[in-house]
Amino acid sequence: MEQPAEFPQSGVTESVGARLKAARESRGLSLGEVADRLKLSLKQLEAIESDHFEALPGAAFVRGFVRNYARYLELDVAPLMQALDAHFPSSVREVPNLAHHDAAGPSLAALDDEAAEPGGRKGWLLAGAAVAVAAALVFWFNRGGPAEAPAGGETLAPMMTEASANAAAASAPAAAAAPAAPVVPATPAASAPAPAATAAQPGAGSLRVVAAGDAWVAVQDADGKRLIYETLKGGNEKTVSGKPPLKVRIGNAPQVQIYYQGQPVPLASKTRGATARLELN
Amino acid sequence: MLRSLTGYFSNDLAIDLGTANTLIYMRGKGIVLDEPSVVAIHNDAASNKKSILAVGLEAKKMLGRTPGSIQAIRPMKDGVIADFTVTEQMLKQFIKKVNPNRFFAASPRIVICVPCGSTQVERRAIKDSALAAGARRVELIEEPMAAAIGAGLPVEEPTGSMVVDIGGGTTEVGIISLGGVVYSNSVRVGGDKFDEAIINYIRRNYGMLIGETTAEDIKKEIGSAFPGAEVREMEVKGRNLAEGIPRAFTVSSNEILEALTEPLNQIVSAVKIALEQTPPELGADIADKGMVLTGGGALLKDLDRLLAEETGLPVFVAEEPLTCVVRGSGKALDKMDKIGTIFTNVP
Repeated sequence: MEQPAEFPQSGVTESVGARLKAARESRGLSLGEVADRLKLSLKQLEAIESDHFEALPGAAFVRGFVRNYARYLELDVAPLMQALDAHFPSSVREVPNLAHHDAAGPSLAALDDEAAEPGGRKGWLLAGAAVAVAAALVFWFNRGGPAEAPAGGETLAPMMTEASANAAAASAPAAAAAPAAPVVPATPAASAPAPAATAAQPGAGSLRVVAAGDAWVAVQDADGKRLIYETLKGGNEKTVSGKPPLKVRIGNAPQVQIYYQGQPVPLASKTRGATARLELN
Repeated sequence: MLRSLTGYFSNDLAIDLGTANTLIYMRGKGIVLDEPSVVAIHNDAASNKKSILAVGLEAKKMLGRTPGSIQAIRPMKDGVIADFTVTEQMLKQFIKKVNPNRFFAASPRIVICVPCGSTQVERRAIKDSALAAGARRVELIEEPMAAAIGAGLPVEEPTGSMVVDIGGGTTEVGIISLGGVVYSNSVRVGGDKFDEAIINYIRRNYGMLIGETTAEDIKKEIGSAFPGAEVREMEVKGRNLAEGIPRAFTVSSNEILEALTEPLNQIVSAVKIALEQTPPELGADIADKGMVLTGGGALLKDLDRLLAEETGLPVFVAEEPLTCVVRGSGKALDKMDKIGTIFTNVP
């Protein structure tokens, strides 16, 4: 078990326990009152407030208890969960949800479209075309050919519903942008601009890799030079620049967020299992 | 090398065939489908032939709004198959949707979950319909087990974990230790019963008739399981029974809480019975760790609070409760070759 009380990547000085404790005290609640409401023992609550999370039964419980506590104190839950990610990762991340942000949003709109104009045939053709394009891309990608950046939206097409494929084909730019939402929420530091040091090299691609948990990262530039070839520890980040196209391989991809030329790059669509492979031009 | 090769061609699936929603996990990809378990069937009067018009989201929009020639059906009821052929067709359509690649369409191995309270006949029916939908091999997993794995509980350790999965048709209570279900209990109360209770309440107290979809909206908007500090209101439209004319009226969260009391009590008593039946050592573990809520019903506001107050144990809602079961089945599928004990058998 790693040392608690340190959540460097969160960019917040206070630890989770300290924030909860401060919020409780500012509301004038005693530990006993909280324990009575949350049905936790005093020992468990003390462990939470002093960041001794290893005393609790496991990651799922740590996250659950902290969430309940924060909700009771009417704190914003999201930043606390993010701070816990490094040591107690959510089990949700292990399984990417492709149906969630692809099918749910666009297909609703697509259904309305279809209701308005009964052009079902055309829709089928478009869906077929999208599937064919996606299949070709997948084939090419697996043979080691270069994958274009916008391909992310289209390789997902076979997993979409027929209706959402319509939407993808009909309103190409909008639909291609939709699945581009990154699975990993950006850390607070994410909005910071790319470090200035990399801007010195003209024509070079600058890549920033931010790891929320331990992850294997390999980056090669166009000349085959290894820019990164190591396991990044959770909470660390690394910035490199080299001649594009950059070949990137990431193990444990759900824990990693990358920024190319300062722009976040979605990994979800490039991830098979936990490994992401992509090429940045 | 061979593993990665077979892994490439394999399109094994884990399916949460639920009363309300069907979710499919594909090995190596993630959750690839999440749609309502609804099928719309077109009945051609001239030739007397039936054909599938739509499945999933599209079909759900037709529920309660169909002309005579179209039937929108929910083929699952209370967690088990109510209409065998329609379920089979629905599964087929969903599998086709996630697997449009015809060239390597080797029939997949499928892990599918069943309510722990289902009979052997009902399990057999689910297994057969998956086989008929094109599966090569079908493994069944009990829902509480899948939910516990999906919620990230330490199921394989020698410690008791308690999970309450509130689905559309059933509520499953399971106590799990060492990769096996120690105790499980299932009551046929879930999201559908909540909707039904709201419909009945509004008919009784307002003399208004509302549809299932409206009832579901009310439940999501202002439904709660425990009296809260604020009272929320919502405008609803329905048909006045006395006048026979559509009218709008306002319901408050307190009324909906009252309407939901009866189904909620059934869930509470199922949980209490489970705790009574738990061996003492596991009971001690659960007193420490509490119980985890999964399934769509867990999203009902303050349900965790109700169960915590009623049992005096810590209760929390799992992260993304709607996908817990399919994620758990997916993890079981990934480990299928290594562990066999978590699957349940059908003779």
